[in-house]
Amino acid sequence: MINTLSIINLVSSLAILLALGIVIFHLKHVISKSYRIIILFILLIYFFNNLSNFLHWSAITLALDPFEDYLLLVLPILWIFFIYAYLKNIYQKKIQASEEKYRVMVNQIHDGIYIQRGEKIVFANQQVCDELGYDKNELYKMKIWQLVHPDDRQKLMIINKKRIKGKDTANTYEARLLTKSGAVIHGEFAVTLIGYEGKPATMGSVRNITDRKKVNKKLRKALKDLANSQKEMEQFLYATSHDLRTPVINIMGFNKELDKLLEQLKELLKKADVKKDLKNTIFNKINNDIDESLNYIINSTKKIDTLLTGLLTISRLGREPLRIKNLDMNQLIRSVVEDFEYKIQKKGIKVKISELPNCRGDRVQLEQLFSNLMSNSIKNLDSKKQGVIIISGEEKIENCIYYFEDNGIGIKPKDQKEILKPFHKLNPDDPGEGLGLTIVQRIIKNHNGDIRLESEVNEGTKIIITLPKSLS
Amino acid sequence: MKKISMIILAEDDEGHASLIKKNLRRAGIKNKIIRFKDGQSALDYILNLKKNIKQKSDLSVVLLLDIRMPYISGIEILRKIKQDRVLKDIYTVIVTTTDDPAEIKKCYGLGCNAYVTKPVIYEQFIKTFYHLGIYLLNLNLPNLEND
Repeated sequence: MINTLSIINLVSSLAILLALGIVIFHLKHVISKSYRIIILFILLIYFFNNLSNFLHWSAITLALDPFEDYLLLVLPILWIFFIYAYLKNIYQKKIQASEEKYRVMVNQIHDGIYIQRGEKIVFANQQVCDELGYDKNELYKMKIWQLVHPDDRQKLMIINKKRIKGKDTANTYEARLLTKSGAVIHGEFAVTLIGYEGKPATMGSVRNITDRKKVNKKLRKALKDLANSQKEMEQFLYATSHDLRTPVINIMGFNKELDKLLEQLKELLKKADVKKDLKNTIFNKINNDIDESLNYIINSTKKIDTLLTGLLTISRLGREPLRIKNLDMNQLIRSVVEDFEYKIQKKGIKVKISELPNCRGDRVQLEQLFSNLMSNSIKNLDSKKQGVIIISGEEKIENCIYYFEDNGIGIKPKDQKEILKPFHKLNPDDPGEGLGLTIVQRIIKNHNGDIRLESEVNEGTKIIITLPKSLS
Repeated sequence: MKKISMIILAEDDEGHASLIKKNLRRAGIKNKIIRFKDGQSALDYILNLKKNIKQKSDLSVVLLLDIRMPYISGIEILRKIKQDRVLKDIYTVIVTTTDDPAEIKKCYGLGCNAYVTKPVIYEQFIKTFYHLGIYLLNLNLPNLEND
């Protein structure tokens, strides 16, 4: 007898058969074999269960009834297996993804990464192999010390021993390594103690710094050469400017001696018995022509001397060792200003000095520095107005700043860049050597300080100087 | 107590030597001025002086010493003289173009009796050596004695 139940049962059995077919033929490559077997079993049990129900309800036969109970008993176990397998699969995929991520990272990184246990390398990334020229299997067979430069072996062994024992030791260091071809590379190590498969081991990363070393070496040499050549230049400057003084003294001296001789000649000429016309011509030559020549010689020689004096000062600043001390700047500035007292009085200049922070420096050089600034300011005051010079300062966290201000004629923007260069003079008639600010700059450099300049034409000039703070 | 008997001038530059001599003479120095144009010959002369002291027991000399000189520098000569038991009494005036404070300090450290910078401006040069001349004229010097 066929009723509704048995029809539903038949349809459901057909659906199960279809599912079976799909699992067997269609999902062959989608689901792994073990899953498919479990799913097939589950589906088969359902199918047989349906079949027996159908036969039972259709009252065709009851022969399958006893199996039905067994089949249904097994079913939950199969379901549990299926769910377990499914979850495990998800979990494993996650681990695989994570492992893949780290594997790629470890192999793609530019540093070599390795794990050392005892004297063996138990893990090394691709970079280690590439740098050293061994493949992984070769590396794992070697004693690690074979890879280290003989001169550095002892050092690394000691460090490693200490670390394994848990003692405090260097975690970063440099050592030389030997490649398979025998080349030496400089490695920079960063290592830590880890547990590896239940035993203490060392994990390290090592970077090839051979190129960096080479560049550093070149750089150090270049800097040394630079310092040497600067020293040589200063020595040369000193020697030339010093040696040039000797002939300058002679030119000046014999020029004056000539002058004296001329005076004597003139006296002799007065008494001499010579025609008046001739006498006058000779006097005229001596008093005008010869005198003019001698004056030119003297004045030019004086210029040479001022230049030499300036150059000597500069070379001396480079040669002499600095005597760095804490300096009472209020006292230092006061004594510098006092040296200019005569000019200050004569020109009626107002000098305002506010409370100054103390700095660290060489007293003689800083006196020279502020003396040069003072001299510049006085020279460049505006004769049409009351001259004012203001000296102030402030203490910052890392250094001291001093402001040296005047209300003078100011410096044109185009001159502001030029003014620190040697021999640059704002006023060509200035009798100085044009080295004042060059000297200032040199002193600032000696003190690792800084100098800046703000100026506006007809308003004045402000010089801002940074110097090291005094130590308490 | 002896007045100055002789001036030894160690100066490599012909012109400077001439200018110094001229101006010392102007100050009234009538003594013998012996000039050497390098360090070696000056030192040789001074060492020779020491050998002959027994015969000339009244020797009281002033040495005017330039620093930069060929063969042996003035500094070396100064060092040798001031370390010598006999020669250390030689009144030594450093006469040089250098006004480098470090150099000045060094020379006094070695025991020079005076340090004079040759002024570049000749008016000052004349004055300096005129005064030096006057000073030397009135200077009382010990005899160089070898015992």
